[in-house]
Amino acid sequence: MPLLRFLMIMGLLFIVSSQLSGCGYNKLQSEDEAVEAAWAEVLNQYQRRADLVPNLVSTVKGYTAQEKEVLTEVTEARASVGQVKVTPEMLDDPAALQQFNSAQGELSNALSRLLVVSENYPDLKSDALFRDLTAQLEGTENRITVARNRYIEQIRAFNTTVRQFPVNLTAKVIGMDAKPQFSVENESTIQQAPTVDFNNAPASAE
Amino acid sequence: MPLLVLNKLILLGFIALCGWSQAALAQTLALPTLNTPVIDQSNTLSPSAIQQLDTQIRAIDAAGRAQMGVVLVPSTGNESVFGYAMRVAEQWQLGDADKDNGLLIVVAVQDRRLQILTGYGLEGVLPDAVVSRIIREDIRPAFRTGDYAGGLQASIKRMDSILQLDPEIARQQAAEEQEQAYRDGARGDAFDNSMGFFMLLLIIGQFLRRMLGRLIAAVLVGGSGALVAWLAGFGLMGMGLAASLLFILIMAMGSNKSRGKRKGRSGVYVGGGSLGGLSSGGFSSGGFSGGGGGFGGGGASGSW
Repeated sequence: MPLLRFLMIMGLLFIVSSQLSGCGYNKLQSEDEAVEAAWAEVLNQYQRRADLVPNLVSTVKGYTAQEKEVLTEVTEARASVGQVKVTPEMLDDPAALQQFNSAQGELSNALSRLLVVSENYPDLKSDALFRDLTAQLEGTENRITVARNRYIEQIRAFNTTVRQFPVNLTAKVIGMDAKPQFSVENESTIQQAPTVDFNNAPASAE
Repeated sequence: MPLLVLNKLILLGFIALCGWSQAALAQTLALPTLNTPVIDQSNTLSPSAIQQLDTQIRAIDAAGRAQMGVVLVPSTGNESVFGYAMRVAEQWQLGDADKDNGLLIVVAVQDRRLQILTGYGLEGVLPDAVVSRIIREDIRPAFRTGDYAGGLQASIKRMDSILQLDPEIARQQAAEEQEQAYRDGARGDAFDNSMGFFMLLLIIGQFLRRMLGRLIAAVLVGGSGALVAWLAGFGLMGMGLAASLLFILIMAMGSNKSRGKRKGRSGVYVGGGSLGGLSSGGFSSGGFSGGGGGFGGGGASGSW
């Protein structure tokens, strides 16, 4: 019975292939999707922060006209963040990711300097709008931290899956590769111990 | 002899290193288990104050507005109060899984710092700025006079009154997003499970074939294959495919026997089909437990 034999072989092939896809293919797809979702959340929170900056700058400006330097720094950092083009392909490109990270890191630094400077202006600190904005900024920074952690976790899960046998064979066939992990934007500065200099306190503090 | 000394030194170094890493581990606090809305590890609140807060929080939870949790610890150690609070929030998962309406208040009494975390579903109704305001206006003045219970009660009351104003929009949004994510994830599971059933049916078919004959077994197995496909929600196409495939396979395997080649052993290798697709969700503790709500880091911190 050649026909029945043929059908049987076809059936077996079907089962084997679906078992394979059950093992690796679907998992790869869903984890890839999870990575993308986690990345979208990271971008979402960074965008939220970028949207806050113009309001914050204009509020601070009203009180601290002489602190031009910090304000322009923040504005410039905000502008360069906007210039980094964000695409889904960027996840697989370590250089683009690096560029994104360093732009966001610069904005983080500029914003924290702005907050340090604002400590010197009691009027500004008691301004209701400024308080609300800094509360929002704090919440957004926290959300960014959480979103980044979750993204790193997803990448870890995805990369583990991609590299493990036998899924790595499936991954190779469908052209999926391990994704670059998120690194800290200022690795070199973190590794150095911070220098504390009490002589350099701004004169306006008194 | 110097070698021996060196060895000892290395050993000593190892031990010191191990001890150090253990000390480093111990610096992150163990999290309390959630069994009641108010957990006071710092012995700051009186039993009657805890009781009052408890009824207040349970009432809000029962009305479905939010599930709140209050934790008082002496100190969060080296960890920031936000980091600690986030770990608690992720472990407890306060709030409904669909609404994400959890809210966590963590007070580090000796550090004089506190953090309020809002669940995803509450972020719209209780934005960070509002939470920060509540900390400044209700909690801080009371905490400064040492009236911890009063500050907590006032803040919870005020947040609840905001929730009563307009909780609907944020709720729906969160529920919709959650549902979408769930739908994306459920498909793969259904496929994996039904593959397991498919294999099981083939094995059963082997036995049935010996007892009842080829045709009856093939019809029975094909029919149940269609049933399984229907239950898994694969539609008419899937049902037809499953039924005909099983039917043909059982019929074809029968033909082996008539030729007496393999003595009834099928050459099918049975992989570990994931049949146990039903994971037990929910918590079994009777008192007070989280419902799977998600937190994204929203909220505000404060000091007094």
